Amino acid sequence: MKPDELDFVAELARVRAGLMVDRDRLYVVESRLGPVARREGFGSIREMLLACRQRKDERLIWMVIESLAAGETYFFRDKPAFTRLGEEILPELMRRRGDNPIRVWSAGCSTGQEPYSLALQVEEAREQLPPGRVEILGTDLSERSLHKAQEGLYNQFEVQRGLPIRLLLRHFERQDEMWRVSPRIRAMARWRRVNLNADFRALGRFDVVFCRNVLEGMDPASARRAFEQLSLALEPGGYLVLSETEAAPAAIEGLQSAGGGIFRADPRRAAA
Amino acid sequence: MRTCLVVDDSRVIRKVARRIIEELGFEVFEACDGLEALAWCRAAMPDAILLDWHMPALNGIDFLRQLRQEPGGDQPKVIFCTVENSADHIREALNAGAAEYIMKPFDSEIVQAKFVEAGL
Repeated sequence: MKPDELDFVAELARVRAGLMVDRDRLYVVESRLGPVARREGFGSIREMLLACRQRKDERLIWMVIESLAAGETYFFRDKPAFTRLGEEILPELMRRRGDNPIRVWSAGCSTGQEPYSLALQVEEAREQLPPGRVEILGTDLSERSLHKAQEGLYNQFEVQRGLPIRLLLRHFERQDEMWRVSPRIRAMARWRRVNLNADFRALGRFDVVFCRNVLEGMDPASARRAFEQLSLALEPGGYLVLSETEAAPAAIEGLQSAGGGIFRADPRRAAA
Repeated sequence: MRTCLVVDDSRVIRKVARRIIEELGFEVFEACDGLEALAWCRAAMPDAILLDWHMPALNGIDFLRQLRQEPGGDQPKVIFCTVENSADHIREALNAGAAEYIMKPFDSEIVQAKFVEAGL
């Protein structure tokens, strides 16, 4: 790729999705765009980018952007957050919410391992939890990732990264050389394409939002805006979970750190 | 230093596993089948055992059942590491007392993750 092509892609990703493309890691950009170009029948990345510029083909443009957003993920990544969810956060929320379902959002869920880990955590803690329903929403920018998430079909490497063998045995079914998440766990999650760089207020409010290792891949201004919107998407007393190593992109009134990358909205904050 | 016994009839697998497990801070010993592994364990129980299923003299599952009858044999955390990847095999291994289960092929990330899951 030439410098002007890299500039074009970086600007496209920043403006449309708030993504930060590391210009020093050209090989990463090329390794992401190469498969898209091949899949779409172009002879080279250059040809594909030319088509993006000239044809203004929105479908192709988003494929390019989505490929740059595809993040790495695995089951129960950064496990302490899941442990706190099961032992601390959910019991408290379920006592407080009574019959109302608890709404959990995994924002930037990639191929679905995080929402399914959340569902597994809920299911495993079910006997210790007060009765109640938990709804999980998984969203991502990438249609391809969401398609895989919805299928709930993972290869042997994927199910061995972070997933305890007892949970694999209990909640997955063998399908040829792959493992499929059980219908019971799949039924706990819904999926939707959401651009965190756009207005996502229509999704409503959530008791828990997981958005880990996502904002750090966005440019600072977009990350700040997304973080502010995410905090507004919390119910009073709701929790926003970043990764343990991520700093909050902005200080927000009424949002307090609860340690370990977890933030809590003021319970007295008026619901919108 | 914590110790780990790698039991596999493939020299290549033992070598690869040794390198990964040493990185995790274990002193590693090797056995090429269940009988040799039992002899190691009777001499000194390791903290962890990475265990293949199919081996010429005393296979992995029979070794594990015998190990659990030995004095102190309930102590080592056993992680199966095998090409057998059916739910039935996994269930059988867990029922016999395995703490975790690796389906070959594996890489260092998987081994590391499984050692953590096993509480090692």
